[in-house]
Amino acid sequence: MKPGDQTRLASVDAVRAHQRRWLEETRTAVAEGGREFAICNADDFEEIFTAFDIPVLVVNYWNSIITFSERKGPHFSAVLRDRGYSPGMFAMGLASTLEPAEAPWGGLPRPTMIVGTTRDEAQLRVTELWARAFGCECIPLDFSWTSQYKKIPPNGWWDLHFDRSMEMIDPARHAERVSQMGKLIAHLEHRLDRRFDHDRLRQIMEGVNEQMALWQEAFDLIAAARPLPVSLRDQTAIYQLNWQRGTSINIALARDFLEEVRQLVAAGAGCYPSERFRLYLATSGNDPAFHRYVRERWGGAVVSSRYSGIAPMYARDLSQQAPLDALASRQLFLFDKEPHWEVHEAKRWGAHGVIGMERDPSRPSRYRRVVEAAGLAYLALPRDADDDEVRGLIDKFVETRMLGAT
Amino acid sequence: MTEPSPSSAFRRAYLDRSAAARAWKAQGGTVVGYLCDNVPIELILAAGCLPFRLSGTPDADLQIVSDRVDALYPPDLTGRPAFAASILSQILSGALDFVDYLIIPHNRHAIQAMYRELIEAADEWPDLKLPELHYMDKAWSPLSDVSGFNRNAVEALRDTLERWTGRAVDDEAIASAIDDVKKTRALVRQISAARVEQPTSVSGTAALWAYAASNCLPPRQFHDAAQAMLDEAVDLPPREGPRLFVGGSPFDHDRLYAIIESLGANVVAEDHCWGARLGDAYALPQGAPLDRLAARFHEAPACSIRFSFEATVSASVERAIAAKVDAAIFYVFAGDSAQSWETPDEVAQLRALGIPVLHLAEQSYDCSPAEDFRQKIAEFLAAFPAHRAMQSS
Repeated sequence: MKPGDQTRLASVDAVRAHQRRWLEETRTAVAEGGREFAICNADDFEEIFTAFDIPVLVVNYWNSIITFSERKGPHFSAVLRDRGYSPGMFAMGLASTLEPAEAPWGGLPRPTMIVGTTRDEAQLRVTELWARAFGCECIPLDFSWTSQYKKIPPNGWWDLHFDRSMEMIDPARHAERVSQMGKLIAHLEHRLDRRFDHDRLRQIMEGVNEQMALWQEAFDLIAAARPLPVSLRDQTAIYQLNWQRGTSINIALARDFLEEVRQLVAAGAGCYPSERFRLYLATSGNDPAFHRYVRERWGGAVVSSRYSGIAPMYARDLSQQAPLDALASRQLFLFDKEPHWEVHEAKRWGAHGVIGMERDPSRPSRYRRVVEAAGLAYLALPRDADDDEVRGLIDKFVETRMLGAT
Repeated sequence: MTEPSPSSAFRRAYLDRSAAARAWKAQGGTVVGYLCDNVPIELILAAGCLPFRLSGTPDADLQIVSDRVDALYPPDLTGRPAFAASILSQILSGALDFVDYLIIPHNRHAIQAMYRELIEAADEWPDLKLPELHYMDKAWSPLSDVSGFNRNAVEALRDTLERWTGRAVDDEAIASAIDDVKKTRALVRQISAARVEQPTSVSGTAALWAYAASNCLPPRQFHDAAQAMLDEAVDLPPREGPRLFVGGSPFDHDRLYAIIESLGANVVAEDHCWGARLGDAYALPQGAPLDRLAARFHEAPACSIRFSFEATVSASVERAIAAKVDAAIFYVFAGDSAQSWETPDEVAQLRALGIPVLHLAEQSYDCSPAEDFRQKIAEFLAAFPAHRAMQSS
């Protein structure tokens, strides 16, 4: 197999197929059997619902399917604007419920509950309006890692998650979060008329650890391999495994992914024809629009992005903390969009340069300062697009910083 | 030379909001700045300091925010409404150098973010001279309770003030400050009541100046001026023209009100955190002064945002109904991520009640271009007589 021959991974396609099948089965079970179903934010309550044996859909994941996979962002933005709202990505799911005929994959079943968040006023309101559209209950939880302003993450925070997570969060917020989760669990016990099984939660959390260890091993292999065996597109797509994390089926899918990665590495498979220089993408976006140009014009490759390093941060040392405490600590801080961690990741991937998004690429920025101080080149782009301006910035960057530097 | 009217005194305070604080500072006093309308300023007063609420200004140069704050983060982390940006610009530029300390509450996202933004800007740019900060946390979820997290947050603020001033903040001082602020709020409510009389004799613009003054003058100074304003209002001629409600984003400047009232209408009520809401009273329990403050802090919305959505919308609609308005204008700033979701329901409910509404979404903070708004509002107001005639027939 020569570089560039490797295409989409079967194990990644299997994850997507599983997600679709899961939604179909859940929709049928809700419609025909009165099964419960829930919606929650990424890190807010998923494991609790899973331990209650309630299928749960994560807001961010559904929004991502609508926006990136199905490319229906413009349609649903118009749906929101027609109703007087200011569209935003977080509200795509709400829009798909307001106008379900265009919803991807047949749309969502009516949830029993939406767990909202006060972490952001727009997210609070969107989850409330979404619950109203469904005619279900919405209960928001306080705080999350995206409202991590009271305590600024310490240096080297990316190494502290597993067993030193309490050093990264505010203890008062942690206690309040644990208390709020306890109250929400009690509320669910009352509504569902069944007891919450804390042993089951521990199983789920241990399953999360197992899944994340498989992920870590797979991504360590991918990062170390030359040529790159798994494309950025597939690296991003496999992130879907993080939804319904810790379940036996997701662990099995993660194991299949690791096995396929092992085989690709052993075969010396490469996903891009050339890696004349390797770039790391410091954004939360998907495979960027300009990536083809980088490959075809310059023979470079974007080898990874922020998302490849996030998943292992879900793992927690359950010998130190009770599952609910561990869960709360993770909910209060997952990761930070800051350049020191991105440099750490870029070096792990053997990147020669880092691409960041800046409103005005010509102005100085902390990302540029930190990345360049670490000995890597930095390319600031104003947007993820493949247009003349972006190509011009890429050309200049490659000519001045990549050619001859590799 | 005649003595300026109280509303002129409030106008002067509005036009130079820092004057009283600078005078306080010049006399050796300590100024504690704060953001939003739910920080327990009673504790600041009890600590012997002057509370000074930071406001935006539509003419602020925002370049310094781009250079000193936005340059630190990816662009998806730096979205904020312009009024928040203009507050940041004043802090960064040194325009608020009389503020010794600053309290940042856990309210809307752009406000929360300022805490980290300022700390990291100071780290990155050693030439910046910024006040010492205190983050005033708050739980908003219906799952939180009054005796827990929010009470601890009030205690933490008291402890910080004691550290800043080097003196104990005791119950007696807190109780005295509670009385002062209670009187301030009572006077604000009286001004609001005078506005909604039929016919009104107090303009919405003058009321807005008075409300702003309640957030930047020493309490006794405000009490005297407010009482004088109320005394003077009795003799003012009635104001003709339609009665309007203003909803939407927080107006910390008077440009919209000035445009509306220059067209012959009167803003008799509003629902935003620089308006009549500053006088809101809450049923507080008896007990220790700190417990009473904690109860109020727990009840007060964070940046006007409370759970549930329906409660927020109802509160806004009820303010308009109580003021017996003829019409409403909802003006929502671009990037105001709370109001952009709440306003459509508020608009729909008022229209369902037969109240005409002009909904201006995703608008500029500075009400520019003023002539365009003037035109839109004039056209909207011109439709009233017909509407009212239709209603009465």
